[in-house]
Amino acid sequence: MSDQRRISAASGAPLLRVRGVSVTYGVQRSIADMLARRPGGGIVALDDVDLDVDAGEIVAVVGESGSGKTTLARVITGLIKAESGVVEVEGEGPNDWRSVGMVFQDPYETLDPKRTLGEFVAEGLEAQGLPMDRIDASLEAAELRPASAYRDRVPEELSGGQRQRAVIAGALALNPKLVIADEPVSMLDVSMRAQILALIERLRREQGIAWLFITHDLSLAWAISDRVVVLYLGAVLEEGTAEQVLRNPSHPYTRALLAALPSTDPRAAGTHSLAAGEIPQGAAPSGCRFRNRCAHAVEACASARPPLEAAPSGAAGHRVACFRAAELPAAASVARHAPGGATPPGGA
Amino acid sequence: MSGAANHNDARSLPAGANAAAPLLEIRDLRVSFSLEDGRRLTAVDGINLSVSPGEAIGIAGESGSGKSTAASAIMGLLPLNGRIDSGSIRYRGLDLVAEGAPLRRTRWREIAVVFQGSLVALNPVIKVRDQVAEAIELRLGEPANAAREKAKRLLADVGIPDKRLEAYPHQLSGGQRQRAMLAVALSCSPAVLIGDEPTTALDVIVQAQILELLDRMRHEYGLGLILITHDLAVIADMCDRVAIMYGGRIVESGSVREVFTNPRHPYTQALLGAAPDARAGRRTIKVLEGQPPDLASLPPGCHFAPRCPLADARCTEEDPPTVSYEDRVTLACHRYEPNGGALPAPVAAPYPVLELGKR
Repeated sequence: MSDQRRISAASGAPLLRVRGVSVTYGVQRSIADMLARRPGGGIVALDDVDLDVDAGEIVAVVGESGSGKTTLARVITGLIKAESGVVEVEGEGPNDWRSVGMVFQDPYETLDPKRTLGEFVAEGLEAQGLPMDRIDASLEAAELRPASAYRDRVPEELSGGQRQRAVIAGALALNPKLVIADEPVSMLDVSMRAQILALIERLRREQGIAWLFITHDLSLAWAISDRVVVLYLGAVLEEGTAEQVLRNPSHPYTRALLAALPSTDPRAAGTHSLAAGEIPQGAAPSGCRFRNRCAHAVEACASARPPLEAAPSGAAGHRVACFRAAELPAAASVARHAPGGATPPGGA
Repeated sequence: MSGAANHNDARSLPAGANAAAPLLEIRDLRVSFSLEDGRRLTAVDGINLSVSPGEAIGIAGESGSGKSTAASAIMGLLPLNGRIDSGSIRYRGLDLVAEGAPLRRTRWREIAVVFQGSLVALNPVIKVRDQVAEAIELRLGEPANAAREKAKRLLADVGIPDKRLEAYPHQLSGGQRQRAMLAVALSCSPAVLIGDEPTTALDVIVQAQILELLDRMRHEYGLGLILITHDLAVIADMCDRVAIMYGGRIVESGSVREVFTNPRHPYTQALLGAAPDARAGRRTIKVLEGQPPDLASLPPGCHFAPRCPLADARCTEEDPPTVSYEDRVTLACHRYEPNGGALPAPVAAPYPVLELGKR
């Protein structure tokens, strides 16, 4: 993948390197399949995904439910084993990582309701053989200040935002170079979200922590990330800088995501559903995964998977998997003056 | 749709209602809950709101703002420990709060609701078409065959294809379930539709599809729409007027254009500025410190004062009165003088501004 980017990254190898990762769920056959001697219908959750995160970089993976974004987070953090492909941090496999933290959508996936925040952070330190004097500093780095006011509290005594800070404190205690954050703010009120975004940005600036920020929210991706990777049915459809992907989107799917986004800005008002139906629940269609919802699909889109290639923008690192990308009208006209979207009847 | 044109003509109003009275009018509504420890918590603290046919009103706020409680009160669906302490909810002049009010008659038939989690609102063991048909049979007393025909038409109208009519709710996608919920809500031809976070659980493209559908239904059926959401952008997209709630009170209300272009209340400014906006290309966000209010221990005076950069001593002592300006905007904020009713210039609250994306 991205030869251009690897050349441009001065230090050579990226901090996180994902190559050709594939995961299939549900390969067991039903009794009916067995009687009919049919193969089982496995659902491909990730299909040959490449991804890089450089030191100190914030990369957003955006996708709808069913895109495979959470599977990707779980593969990278070692919670799910990929069938094929490589995941490396600083050139090491998952068993040798000391420098990867995790933050999930629901703080209770990480926090034990019966343990104090001090005990929670200590547990991680102990597991890694790190000194216990880091507890207070970690809590304060996650803006739970003063640490003495939080150390002895249990999760129930905290607000949702504070619980997510506690999870981040647990990650920070281990001195991470990279934090995988899966929808870290989507359960929070909007004012709490802004506080956590500010914290993530500050930790990157001051401690050089890289983040893989997984979200369904394009606006969050736009605001927080250097680069954006658009995932759909387990594959990358578009990637590039936040400016490239979200200000000058090439893929019809990225454009549909953006056009569907409501805005409080009167200049951008009016949402449109440019794509028909919903993300399929079962197997991806042949050829381009997006073709059965795409307004621009032609016959060729059904016959082969479009490869991820340089986008028509020509900008370094901007890549798109669409046979028709070069023929489509400029993105700005799509995002701003889309005709009243045709509401597709029914779903997928 | 053919049924839409005569939708309102065919309406027979419940006894005591008056076709000339406003569609829905809420005055000084107060709702409280009893807590296990015996205390009472005021969730809705004297709100005023009205909706006309064909009009869409947005109610926005974060957790603890009271926006969903207000919806439950209007629907007569408050939990057992909740009660309406005072105020009125009038449907075409008929007070739904007064003793002996025909709530069973108005609920669903005059005022219907679509909730966020349609999987819990739909019965999991009944096919979609039967659920809509049952609602029609039960609430309108129509014969089974006619109800099933009507259900089929309604489901087609909300975009459920014929081949999905016999599906169970779990066999439908999230968007299809929300469409089916909308069919159930519209089955008795209500005049008012309340959407309580109706698209919050949906992906953004499906959300746009459902919002387009809601907008079409509102115009075709002349519905008064009340849209309750934490997402101001959805309100900007869908509504004519907006009410911003904080700690059980409406702190600012007015036309969407006026309130979103010239937000005056410091909380409205924070809420509008707190979310980045990929559509508009805005990365700067205003950071509102502190926590949403705890309704069980609200501060005296203005509930927002502890988080407000403009607050002074008066704000922490006296409740700010709600002042109406030029019939366009209402504000509950000590920073704005009554001004003889003339709309005041906005005062910018100095929130810390975070410039994301500056590398």
